[in-house]
Amino acid sequence: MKERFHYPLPRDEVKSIRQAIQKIRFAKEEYLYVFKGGKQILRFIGDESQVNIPEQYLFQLPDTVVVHNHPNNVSFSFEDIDMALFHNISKLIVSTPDFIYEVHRSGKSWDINFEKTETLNFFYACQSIARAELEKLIAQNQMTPKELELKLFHYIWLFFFNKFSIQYVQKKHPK
Amino acid sequence: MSKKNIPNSFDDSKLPKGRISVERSLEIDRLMESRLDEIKNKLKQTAIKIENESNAK
Repeated sequence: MKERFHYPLPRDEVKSIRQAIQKIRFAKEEYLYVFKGGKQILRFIGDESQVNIPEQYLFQLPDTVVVHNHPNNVSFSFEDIDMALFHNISKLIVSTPDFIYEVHRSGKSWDINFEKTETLNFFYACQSIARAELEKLIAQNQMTPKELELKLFHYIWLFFFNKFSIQYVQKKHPK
Repeated sequence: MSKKNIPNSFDDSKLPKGRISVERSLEIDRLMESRLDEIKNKLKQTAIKIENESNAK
């Protein structure tokens, strides 16, 4: 477990998930909102690359919608998805400057477990194939190695969640 | 038996630094689009193979 905790901030004026997505879109540090029944129940500030939740707040995560931001335009990290699966978060949203990434549990539980070797092996297979396919674009001079790294996780999750028929989307911010 | 670690971090420190423009990002998505179905089918076969190997153990 991470030992450098980020303690919660008081709830703020944000009244909807949509407002939260817009409020933290361009933030340089990571902010995280937890919504339950459409209402903001918790709010944290992390640092530029993570938000660590103290143990005494983890029990509140099941069946919530969690929104946090990535200061770059990159999709979920492995650890983001691990948090969603382990704590049975119903919907995980990342707000980035240009895109919103969402993954939505389809039933009452995810039924995916990274502790199972075959699930982890399938994740690694998605990672390997996503990288290989993007490298073909580098070979054709259609993308750079840096762009590959920045797009890689989007394709990993696109392929990974497709197997489980779970909705994963990348979308632009509404105008 | 060791106690399982309970994940408690939305840890993005392993994600790459930097930023891709929205135009380039969408352009890459367009280049990948025609290959997505083929890749997904390939991964379905991979998933079956992984499960079979796991069941055989």
